[in-house]
Amino acid sequence: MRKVMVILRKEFLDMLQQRALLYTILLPPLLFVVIPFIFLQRVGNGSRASALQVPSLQGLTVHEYTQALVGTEFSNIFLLLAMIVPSTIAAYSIIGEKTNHTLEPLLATPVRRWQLLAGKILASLLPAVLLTWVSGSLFIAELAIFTDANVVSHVVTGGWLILFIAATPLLGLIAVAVMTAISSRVTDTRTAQQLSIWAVVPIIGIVLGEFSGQFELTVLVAIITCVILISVAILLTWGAAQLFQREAILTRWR
Amino acid sequence: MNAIETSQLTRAFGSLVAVDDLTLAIPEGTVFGFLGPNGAGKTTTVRMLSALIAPTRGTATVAGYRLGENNEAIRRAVGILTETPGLYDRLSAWQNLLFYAEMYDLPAQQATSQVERYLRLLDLWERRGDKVGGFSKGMRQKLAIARALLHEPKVIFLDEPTAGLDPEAARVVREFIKQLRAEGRTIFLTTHNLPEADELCDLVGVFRSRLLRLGAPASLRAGMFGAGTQVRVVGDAARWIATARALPFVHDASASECILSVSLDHPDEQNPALVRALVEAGADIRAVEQTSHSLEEVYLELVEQAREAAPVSH
Repeated sequence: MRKVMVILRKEFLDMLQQRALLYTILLPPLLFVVIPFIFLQRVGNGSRASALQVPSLQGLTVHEYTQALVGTEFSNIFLLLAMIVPSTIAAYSIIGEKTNHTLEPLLATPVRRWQLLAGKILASLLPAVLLTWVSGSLFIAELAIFTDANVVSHVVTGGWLILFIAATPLLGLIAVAVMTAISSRVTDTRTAQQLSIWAVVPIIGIVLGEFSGQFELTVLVAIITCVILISVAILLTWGAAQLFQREAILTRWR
Repeated sequence: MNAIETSQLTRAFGSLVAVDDLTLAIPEGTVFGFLGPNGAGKTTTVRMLSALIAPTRGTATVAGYRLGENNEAIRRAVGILTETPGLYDRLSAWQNLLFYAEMYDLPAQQATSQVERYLRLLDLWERRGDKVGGFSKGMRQKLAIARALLHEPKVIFLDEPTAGLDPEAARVVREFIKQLRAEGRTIFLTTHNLPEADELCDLVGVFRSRLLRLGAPASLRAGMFGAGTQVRVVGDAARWIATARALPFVHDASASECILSVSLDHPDEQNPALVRALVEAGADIRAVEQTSHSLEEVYLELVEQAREAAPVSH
């Protein structure tokens, strides 16, 4: 475990020196906290929003309904955040090593494959999970302070909380695994990030499904989603580990 | 005892055989020069011997550990300078080395003392806090060499250690390699710089997918071109060809203006007899010197022969 911590420390030191990366990972959570704050302040009577008839928001007054609609939209964005931030860090971390030719000397040390992969994954995952949870908590606080009492319970449902807490690391893990796979074929961070956008499509599906009334994000749905995400995360991490082998990196990665 | 031993070591990538049937033994404390053109399979060989990639066939023992059975121990026992230094540009020299010292499992106190030792040895101590991205090529190379040595490896692989360096920096690196040899370390030196190989290496292997020749630089020269002596005489040297050829140890003799070239096996021992015979025959001798062929001539001849025998496409 010591080597994982050594890698983690090096990754954080390196990360702190990269302003572009810091802006890229800090800006989205900041925006997702500030923008709902502005929207919640400016919510009108909600006549247009209520026309959508989101099933999970039934029973609210028009004003509450509008606030809850804004809140629900942004609450789901935090699930996207759990994927965007780690994939950005992983792109810089893995592709950065590749383009700077630092992987070979690193692989020549007596580090085990799992230690290197765990260090890389944790370096991407920990800041992402922390940022998502902190910014999500600030968002919940905003809701509690600036919306009507009924709104919080309609936005911060048991289902959403389960996803927010349990799915954040799982989604992050999936994003890092996908980025590792992409890194084996791509040589610049920008292309890798563009390709990794596809990984968030299932999350957009969840958001759209909820809004179109296809399903309601109940506790059961959230638990089933988490179970599916655990399976996907395990499968993709296993796949990433297969790609992350000394020989494969040195002879097959482009 | 041999620091590196390989037997029929082979590595193929699909239909391309990068390293074919490599069998060699490098004694401990030797500086071994691994010479070959670009794409000859030198990097693949180094990667196999440092347990980074597996051979397709054959066996190898490095620092007493068998390849494939104890790869982690091999990685612990060897140090490697890769073709590109591969340093973390945004970290300082100190942070770069400390990271690697810890990756090589050095205890905290030993890690810092080793980092300090090598930064001082390679004259980088004053720049220890600077980001490596601002270092010159020579400083980066020295730092990468320090990184390869932090854990005091028994076997060191150096891939083109002086490539692209200015003459002064290259000299510093060469002197450092000599110092490592004096400490009894085994150095596997991959280089295109043949005068450098001639200067540093005890043993050289000329390689182009297969090992073309293995030996000490002097014996390779003698083996390829034979030994010889040039005698500078007064007047036309052709007059003394017959005298030289009449000596039993002389293989051949030729002349060009005032220079008589004589092919023989042991110039040190046979030159006095040669000179005596020529003087007795009436030759006025101005100078006598041994014919010397450079390692570069040996290398180019061997690679050309190999190219003609079996063209390799990469």
